[in-house]
Amino acid sequence: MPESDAAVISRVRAGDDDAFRELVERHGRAVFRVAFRVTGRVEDAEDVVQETFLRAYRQLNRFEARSNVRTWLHRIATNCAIDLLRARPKREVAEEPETLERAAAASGDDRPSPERSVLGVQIGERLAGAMALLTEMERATFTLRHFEGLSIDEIGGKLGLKTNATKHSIFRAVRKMRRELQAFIEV
Amino acid sequence: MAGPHVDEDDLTLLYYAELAEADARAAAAHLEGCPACRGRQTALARLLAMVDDTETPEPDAGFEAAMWRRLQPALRAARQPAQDGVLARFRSWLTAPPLASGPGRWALAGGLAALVLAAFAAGRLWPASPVGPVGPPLAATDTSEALRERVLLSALGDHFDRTEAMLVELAGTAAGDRVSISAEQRRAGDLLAATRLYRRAAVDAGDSNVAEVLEVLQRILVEVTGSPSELSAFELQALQHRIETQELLFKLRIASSAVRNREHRTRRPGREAITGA
Repeated sequence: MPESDAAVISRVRAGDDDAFRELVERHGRAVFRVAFRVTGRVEDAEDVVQETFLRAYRQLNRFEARSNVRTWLHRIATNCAIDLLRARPKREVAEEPETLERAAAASGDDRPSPERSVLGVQIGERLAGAMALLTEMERATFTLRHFEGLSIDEIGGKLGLKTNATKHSIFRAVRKMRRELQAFIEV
Repeated sequence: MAGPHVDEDDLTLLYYAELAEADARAAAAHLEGCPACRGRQTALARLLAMVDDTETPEPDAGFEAAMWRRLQPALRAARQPAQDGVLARFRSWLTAPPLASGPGRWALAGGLAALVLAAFAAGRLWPASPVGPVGPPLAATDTSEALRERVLLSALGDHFDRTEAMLVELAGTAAGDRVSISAEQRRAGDLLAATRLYRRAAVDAGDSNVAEVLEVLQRILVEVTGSPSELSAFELQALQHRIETQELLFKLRIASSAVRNREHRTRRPGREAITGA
């Protein structure tokens, strides 16, 4: 039976640093996924993973045994990703409306095939395309609300945005995705 | 039908249970009697359910091992007391034999980057950018702090110089049918790990000028390491063009010079005269 995360953390606390590698092996990929969803860039996500485990290592004495290690690491990763977005120069590149119109038009022109697998691939491609249309801030606000379950107020607080600005950032993200996926959501 | 139609924004807030209570009740009452709004609500729910299936890129098979390699120096630094460990580790890196896996001096860059990170973690060693009139030399007020700062600034300056040297070689490589850049890639790989650590420390310290330069460097280093080890003439020229158009070499020289100037200001007055005698 595999050793529990809590037991692994106890070993790290007792001075067995190699045990920390076990946590990286177990949770590194999940942390990467959280980081990628928020940042949208592989290299940033890798930086976030590294920083997450470093912060976790420093905060080991604050970890409570009854807590869930995965949840704890995800929370740290979300904060690290937010810190990264806040610290770097803004790279907001709003898509031209024409681009969105073209994307929406393309969705309408290209009806999906009935086969589920083909449909799945098409949806996946469109989703990736839709996510790529989001600005850095739209992606972050939407991801933190949708995937990480943070409230709009919490997101605004962490990203330094007013509640209204946070809401509108999420609305814009949803609109862009709806346009891109229109063909798949109409009955 | 109760009340006005529910617009898409309110449907979004309703989906996430973020609509104010009174508005949520009114929207629910309207939705009950309005098939059009219910249809849009269903479509939105379908859209957001699809988003749940968004795929993220899957890291390579060696992701965990590579991450552990990146983490180890930083963890080592994190568990040692910053106060008495910084200079001892610096000395040990200076005197350590080259690593078996690669040229020692490039590995040293990563070690020094970890040192910067660890030192910053102690909350006091990332030197402040000079803003406004320059005050008295730091060394005049605190010799040991100034010594640490000088070490750190010197390491960062060396890092900029090494990166510049690698990029100069790459920019000057003559394009043939196929050109091997594997040596530059190895150096870029080592420099990349150090660059990431320096950038993280600079970002955390709020040193946006240094962080920006390091971010630009990081992108080109990622590109170099991720390129095929043999490039066609066209690929090499495209890479050289990017180095040129981003004015990377110029930015590096400016950054290196700024860091050297900051390093110089940490020196005790008259020190050069004594050591130079």
